[in-house]
Amino acid sequence: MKKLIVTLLILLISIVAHSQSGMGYLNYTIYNIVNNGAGQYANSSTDFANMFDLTKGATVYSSGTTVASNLLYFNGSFFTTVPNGGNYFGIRTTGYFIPQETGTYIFEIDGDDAEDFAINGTVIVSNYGPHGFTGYKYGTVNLIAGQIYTFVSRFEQWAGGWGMYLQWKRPSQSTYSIQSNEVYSSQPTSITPPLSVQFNFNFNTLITPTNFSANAYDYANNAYTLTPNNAATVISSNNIVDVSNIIDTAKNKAEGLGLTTTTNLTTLYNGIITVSDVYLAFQEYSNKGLLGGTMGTYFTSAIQYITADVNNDGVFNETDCYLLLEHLTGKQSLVSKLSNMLKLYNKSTYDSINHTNWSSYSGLKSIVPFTLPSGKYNDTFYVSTAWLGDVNLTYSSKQTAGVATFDVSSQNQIYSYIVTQLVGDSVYATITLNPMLQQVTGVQYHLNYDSSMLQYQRTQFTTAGNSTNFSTDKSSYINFGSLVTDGSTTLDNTTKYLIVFKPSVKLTNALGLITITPIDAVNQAGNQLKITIN
Amino acid sequence: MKSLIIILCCAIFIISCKKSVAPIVQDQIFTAQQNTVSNGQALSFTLKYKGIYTLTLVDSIQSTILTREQFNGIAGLNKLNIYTRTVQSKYLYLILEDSTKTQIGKTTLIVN
Repeated sequence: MKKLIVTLLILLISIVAHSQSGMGYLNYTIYNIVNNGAGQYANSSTDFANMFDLTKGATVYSSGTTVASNLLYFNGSFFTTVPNGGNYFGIRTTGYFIPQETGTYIFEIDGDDAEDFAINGTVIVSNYGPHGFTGYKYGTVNLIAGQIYTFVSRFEQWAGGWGMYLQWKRPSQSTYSIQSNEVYSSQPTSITPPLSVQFNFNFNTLITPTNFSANAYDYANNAYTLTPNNAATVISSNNIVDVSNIIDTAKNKAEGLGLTTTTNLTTLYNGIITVSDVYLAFQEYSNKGLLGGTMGTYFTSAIQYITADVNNDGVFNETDCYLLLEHLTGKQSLVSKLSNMLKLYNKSTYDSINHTNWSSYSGLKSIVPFTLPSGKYNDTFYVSTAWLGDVNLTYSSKQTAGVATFDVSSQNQIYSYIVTQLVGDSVYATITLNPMLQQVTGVQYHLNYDSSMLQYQRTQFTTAGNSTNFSTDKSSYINFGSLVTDGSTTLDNTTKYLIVFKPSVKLTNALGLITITPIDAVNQAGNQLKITIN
Repeated sequence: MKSLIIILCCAIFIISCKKSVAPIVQDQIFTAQQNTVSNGQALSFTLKYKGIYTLTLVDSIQSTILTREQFNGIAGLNKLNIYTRTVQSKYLYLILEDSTKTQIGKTTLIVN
């Protein structure tokens, strides 16, 4: 029984000991060098080799595996005991180094007494001979992300104070540290670089990232093709998608990324293009002057030209304004496939787009080019998105500079009143506008109706001035409103919409058969307004 | 005499077992603080006076008005239906107002 307990205990200890290895760990051997064959001090790499040579007098005091920081950063004490009360000993630390990035790594080392550090058998940095801590020495080496290199550091103490600091920084870093995810006590059998792409969507409640999936592309002969192992990979709710498994394994890279979606684009676009988008487009266009040669004052971000250029011809003009208006009023839809409607940009490119160069970034942008791996073992790419027709950028990424601001403050509030009535064999919905003190140039609502019980008949508009009035039956709701595209007149408190439905069954009343959703409103200055139903 | 008493007792017993013809009790929607409703459900409430009234449905979470219906109320028991297919919210207030917009009833509705 006693034997069994001891055996189990040994087994348990060995399991625990075994688990204390791998990434973040290194191996060590502590030598007693009091009788070494290299003299008192390691004045060179060869001296170190001789000093730790068991055939030349050195003896192994202890060895094992421990966390990297125990072995690479110590001063006057060590995580375990050392020989001779802290004199006449050396430590050899070994393992593997797998860089996270490709490029020039810089290693720094300091110690008391001698120390050196080698990658793949080549000493990168050293500080030989007898000395105290003298300040860091530096060494550089070009490494490739994901490749496996051997890692060896050596330290020697003869007498007096003792210690060693060894740290490094990656090509992208500015400070030195011991980076435990790059060192391994044993050689990993396989490494899958965790590459991730972050999408910087500016989604609101209408747009759900998890309804979008990413696809990886190769690029050759001026064309993108899906990588052989591509599979549509769903974007997570925090807008991040990991494409490690869909890059071209033969090339070990991907060169483009595109999106697919399960979102109903027609529904989505009825929310994206609203009266304030169309009004802004008209105002910016008319504000540019007859020749259109100057920049208007209504677009505060260059991206707005790209989203307003709805025919993708690189020119923002009257045609685009009327296409937007026709989409709003239901005469012509801008809805097509996602690749025509959503533009993808590398974030730094997106942020660099300005009022003079925007046209070269217009057109279809359904695939964002990039290269994986980019020199980093674990990388994040930021992708900015712009929806065609989203002129006020409510649903598109904001640029870092030149951000369009259309915040709806409480001061920009107007009111609308709704009442429904059963009149004879019809149901009437009357919506009136109270613009408060705002110079309202556009309003838009959705009137939701129970299509199993009501049939849409007509809309009667009562509006002052020269507004474009619209009302489109979308089968479960009516998209209706008014827009004064030139801003020359405003919608006052005489504005009224009477929408008539015919019940398909006999009704005694219609409570709940019709509900209203205010969509958007805009004032003469192009500011978005909030409609409150009262 | 004995048989007469027995017959009388039986008669009393039979009469007492008959279902009473009491007035039908209606759900008075505004007497309860909270009601669960489903599409097409009838709502009833009593009005003192005949006149024009409105019923307003408010999303109680967002505090937004969803719809309002005007109707001719009668003095006494009124029965209306509520339809919920276009209502996106689960929690609503139902508010009854008279023609002077004075609130005379309010309750919480939970859409089933």
